[in-house]
Amino acid sequence: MTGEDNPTHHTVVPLGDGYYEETVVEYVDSGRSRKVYALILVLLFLLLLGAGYAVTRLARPAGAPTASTLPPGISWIRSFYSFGPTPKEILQTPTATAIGPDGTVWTLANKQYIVGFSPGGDVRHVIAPKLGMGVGEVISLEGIAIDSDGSVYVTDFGKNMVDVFSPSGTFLRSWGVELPQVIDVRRGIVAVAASNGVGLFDTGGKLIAKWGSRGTREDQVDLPHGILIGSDNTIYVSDTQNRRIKAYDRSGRLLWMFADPNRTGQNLMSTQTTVPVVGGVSQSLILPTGLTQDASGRLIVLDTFSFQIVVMDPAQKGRIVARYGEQGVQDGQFVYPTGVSYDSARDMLAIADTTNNRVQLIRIPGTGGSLVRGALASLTDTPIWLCFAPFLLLLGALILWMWRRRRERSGTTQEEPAVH
Amino acid sequence: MPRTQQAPNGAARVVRTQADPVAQWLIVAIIFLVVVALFGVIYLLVAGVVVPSTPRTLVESQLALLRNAAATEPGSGSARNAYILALEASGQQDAAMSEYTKALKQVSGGEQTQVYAAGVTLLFDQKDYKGVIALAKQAIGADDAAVNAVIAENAKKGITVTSAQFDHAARISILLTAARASGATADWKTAVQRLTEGLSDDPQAADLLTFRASAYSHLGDREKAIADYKQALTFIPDYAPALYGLKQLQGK
Repeated sequence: MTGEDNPTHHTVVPLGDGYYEETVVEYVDSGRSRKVYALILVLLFLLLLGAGYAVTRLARPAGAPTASTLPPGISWIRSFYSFGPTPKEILQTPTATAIGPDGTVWTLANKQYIVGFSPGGDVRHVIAPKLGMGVGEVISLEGIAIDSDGSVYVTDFGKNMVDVFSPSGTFLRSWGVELPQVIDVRRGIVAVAASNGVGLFDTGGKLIAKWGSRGTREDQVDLPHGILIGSDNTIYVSDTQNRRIKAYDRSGRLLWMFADPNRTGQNLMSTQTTVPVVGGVSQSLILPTGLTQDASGRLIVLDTFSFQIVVMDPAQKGRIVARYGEQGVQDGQFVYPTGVSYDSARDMLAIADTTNNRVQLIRIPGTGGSLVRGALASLTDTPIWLCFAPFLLLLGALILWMWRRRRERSGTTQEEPAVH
Repeated sequence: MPRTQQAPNGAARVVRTQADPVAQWLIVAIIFLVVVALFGVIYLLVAGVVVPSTPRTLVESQLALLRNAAATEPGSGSARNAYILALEASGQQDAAMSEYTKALKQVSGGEQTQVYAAGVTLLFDQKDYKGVIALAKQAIGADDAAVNAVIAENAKKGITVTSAQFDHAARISILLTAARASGATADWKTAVQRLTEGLSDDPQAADLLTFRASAYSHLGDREKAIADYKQALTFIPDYAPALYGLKQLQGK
């Protein structure tokens, strides 16, 4: 070992009278060790970089849309296509979505299965009631809502019932509602839009209020496919066949109504000819279905026949302020979407892209969600805390090492011989 | 632990031994990187980032369906063919080739022709034209053997089966790809042979006729080329490649 390879500290302190203290500190590790460690470090760093690049490529889903291929304003997160490997477990015509307090994205498949996904795509719950008219059995599920305790409320159009299940699939209770389409539950109130009116219930099924009948008059509704209990307890209804969005108070008094300017009430497929454009945004509403509310308080409505997400401002009696989306089968596009819900914690919309047989998680601008909150919420979506185990081990080892060193030093001080 | 030495002049000399601080920091950095790597590995495992539990995109969804079909019917050549080609279409060339190799071992008889057809397509897309020609030869030989075996087996039972009764779609696909490979290497004569062979199995295949017309055109046989284009258009009147080729030839 040469002096160059073995860097040392060498200090001489004269003590007078020809005495001096000479201290030599020898390093256990040589200069060669430094080179070896540096080499290992560089190799490890390069390996990590390479692995990171490979994982980034692998982690990108095959066929995922890019920002340039997505419709303007749409940020695609992921889609859900199936809840198992068999053809029976493909999401068929999902008509509605709902997001639970734990972030579970719920939807209906084949009008029979009630499926809950984690935002990351793991299947958390599959409730598969038997087909039939018996208790806890279903005929044709249309709408879904999740209560703050996780209870799953579904409307059974074929059986004229509202059924309530626990997240694990236990049937809890049900009550009769004629021709129920869609449902929402919030703050102890269950709102049901039926083909011929709107009803409010408590969570036990006791009727609180009821209004409307089927028709085209302003006090009537026709096959509503969207209902929402707003943050201020306003009841919003998507009056689908009449091409209107209505806001009611809890007694059923109409607060405001937005109607498609060219609604005919007859021909839903009619071509719009004189659609007013306000603020550069078309005010057309061809077939409004699912609706929800974002963190900014805006109404998010699906206009099924225009294959778009329509953003409305309730403060301006539903004026349409933005539209996003286009028709297509690729991820990020829609074909007859009918159900939507919003997760403010993760700032994402879950859209039942019905004819494409999938649910899509997307983001649109201006929803008022927080990316930081979203990142924090995503920590609970996967057991990511497991990932911190190596760091905890490192911390433990560091503490142990420091403790030993401290002990060794104190021992050294005691045992150090006197210097003459 | 320090040790004391006697200096030459009789003075005390304290010698301390300690780790090289630079080396220590390097070790700490190495440990940190190892921990980061462990973090990443565990995250990938628990979050299902690389291997998602459910399909995330349309492509993944279709792949999952085809994978499931191939797993359910491992002996089905068409199921294996569809899965291999879907893997390739999704950009997973290595996985497609691996699946092709596996399928070739698991699928037998006439069904194997479908697997060969997928293999020929994979090689063609990799521009391995020599490989395509060699594999096509092997595939057609295997297909002939399988067809003859079925004919012979039925003959034993007194049932008359002819080659025309078999579905030759995969065989024709192989011949067309082989012809394209020959064309890519400017061997138009072999291309014509392969296409003629294919047309003997399906005389109404407009794509074969159109490509043979193109091959004839390259060989300078204008009349035969025009005849083939016209023949293709009798089967599919608005077949764009034939219309375009004919227009090009007649314009000359």
